[in-house]
Amino acid sequence: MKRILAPLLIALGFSFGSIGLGLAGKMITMKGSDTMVILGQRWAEQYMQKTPGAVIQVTGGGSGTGIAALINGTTDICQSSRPIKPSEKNKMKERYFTQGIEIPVAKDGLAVYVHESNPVDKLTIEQVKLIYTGKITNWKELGGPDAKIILYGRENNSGTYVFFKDNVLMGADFAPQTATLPGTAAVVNAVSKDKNGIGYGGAAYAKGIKECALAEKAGAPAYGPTLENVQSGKYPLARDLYWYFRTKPAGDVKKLVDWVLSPEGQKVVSEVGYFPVKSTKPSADAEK
Amino acid sequence: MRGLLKAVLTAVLLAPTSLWAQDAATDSLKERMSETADKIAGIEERLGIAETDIAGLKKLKISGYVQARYEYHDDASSAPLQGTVSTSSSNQGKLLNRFFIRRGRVKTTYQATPNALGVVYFDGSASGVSLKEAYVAVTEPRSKVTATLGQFNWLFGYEISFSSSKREFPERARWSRTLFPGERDRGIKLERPFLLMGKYNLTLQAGVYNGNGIEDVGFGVRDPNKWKDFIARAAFGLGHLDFGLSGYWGKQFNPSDSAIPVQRPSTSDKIRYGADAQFFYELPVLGGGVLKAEGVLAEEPKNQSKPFRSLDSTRNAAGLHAVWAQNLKEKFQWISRVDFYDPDRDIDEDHFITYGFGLIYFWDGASKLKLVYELPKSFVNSRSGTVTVNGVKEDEKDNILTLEWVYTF
Repeated sequence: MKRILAPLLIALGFSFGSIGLGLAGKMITMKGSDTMVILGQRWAEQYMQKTPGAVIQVTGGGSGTGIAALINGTTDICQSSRPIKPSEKNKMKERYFTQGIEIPVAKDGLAVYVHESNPVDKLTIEQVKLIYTGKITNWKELGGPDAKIILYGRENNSGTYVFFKDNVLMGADFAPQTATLPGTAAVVNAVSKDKNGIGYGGAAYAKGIKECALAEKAGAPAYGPTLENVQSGKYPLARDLYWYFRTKPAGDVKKLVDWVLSPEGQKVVSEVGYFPVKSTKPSADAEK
Repeated sequence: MRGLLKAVLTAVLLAPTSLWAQDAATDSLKERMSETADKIAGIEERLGIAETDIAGLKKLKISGYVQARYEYHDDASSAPLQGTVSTSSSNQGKLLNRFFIRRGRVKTTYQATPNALGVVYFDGSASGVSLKEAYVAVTEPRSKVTATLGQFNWLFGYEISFSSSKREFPERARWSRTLFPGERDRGIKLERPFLLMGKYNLTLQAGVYNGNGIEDVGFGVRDPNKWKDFIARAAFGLGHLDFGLSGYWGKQFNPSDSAIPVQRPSTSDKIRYGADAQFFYELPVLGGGVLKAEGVLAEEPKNQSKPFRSLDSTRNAAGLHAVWAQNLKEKFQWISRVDFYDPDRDIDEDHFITYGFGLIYFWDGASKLKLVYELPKSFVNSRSGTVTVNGVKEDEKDNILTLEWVYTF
């Protein structure tokens, strides 16, 4: 046995070592939420400008895709617009023996978009649910024109889709006539061209359309997705935007995280149209 | 004056031509726009059809894995303790080393709606192609209760349902291979997750099974006995510590056994209690690690292949294994295991202990290479049924080196 064991171990050691060296690189990769792509790109641009030698690659694909890439080891940072699911945590535990490290890096108000010409400018969460589950189908029922409501939404690998389904539809299914589009920008584009359309997505993308003010329930005050309303918690569809890691950030990745959470990094958040997190450092409970 | 007149006349004569040309250009542009709009409408229509088709395809998921293996056995006279190759005497003396496909699995899952799915799962290995799992799972959305009906894993313990593609060691612990052969049976199970204090997970499961498992000779067509076996499990997830308790209550026909000289009752109890725990931690620089342990106390029917001393129809068995796995940064993982099984606690010096250690290299997100060395210490000659009663039997030359490539898709 020794005759075969020793050469095998030596050969494997050499091959593993050389492969490990070959794969070593300084590039930091970020993958995940389409909602956060622009934010991630702005962070990357500014960080690379101020940090000579830093190379950051940012791609989208959806929060679910980003978390899968984190588990597969094909990205260093996952950008996610929803918390990691228990099933994803389990996969992380099976491979890395950690539950993943979660750091909120920005806040977002998930906006409900309608066409600029649409007279409807406020809705309750219940009404939005009834619209997207196909129970309300005409704008007339909401004080608008006598026209069929055209539904636009996201694909199911999107964190925005999951957040909307969990927090607005309360787990119910989307109406089958909901057109699924590959990104928030596509939803905004579709609603801006469809005077009977309705869509949802990050407030940062709300250009050329109108954002509805939202109320928790009938009779309650409605609030728009503004900084004050999102940070105060008055806006009903406020959510955290996260970065996820396999293990505690270290080295170049930790430097990037520290910068993103610094006033300079959080200024980028405001510039893009999202809302800064209140804390400027990783919180003690960041590791959940 | 003549020049002015000439210019005016020229302008008057050419004006209609210019207007006609403009009209023609406008008409042409309108025509081209109309054609383009028609083309876009056509593309949109085809895109809509394609999206519908893709949405249908997304409901179907195909996954699986391949475990291609090379094994080197310490001594040609020791038949392999693992795998699907027969350990009959005709094979002994021939199996010094071998390449083989330990598992080649393909799982198809179709989820037509969020709360119902169907699974068909096949295995291709040295013994041929077999149906491993086929079941329907339906979740009631308000209560979150999931009912599963068909052929699937026994819900006992942690390791039995832990996929072979993810498990650290090439084979499960000896006690689970012995008490739960094939890891699967036919039956029905219910499970419901709970969230405690907003962050701790509790899953309660209960199931009723035929009881003899997919490797039973009569499995394919019938339940070999009339009794159904009942299994219950509670699993807690506290974040860094997960643990579970399992119970199994069943009955089994006694096998015909000429070695027992008295009439035995026609059935024996089959009762098992299990506990398992996994502690997860993270070390600076190296990364995450885990300590796992799982044990079982069992009252089992006696059978011919196991040693027995008394005339009781059951024996008291016990099993325990502990695993320590530590990531060595992101590409490597150190693994080690102690695996203990005592088929009859009433007989001294009758048990198995296997020590194992190895290294896993994660090639990419889909594939990993394992190099594992295992040292079984058998204090009973399980192949002949001869018991070594007084003292430890000399350790057989049956160590195994396994090199395994696991590819998941």
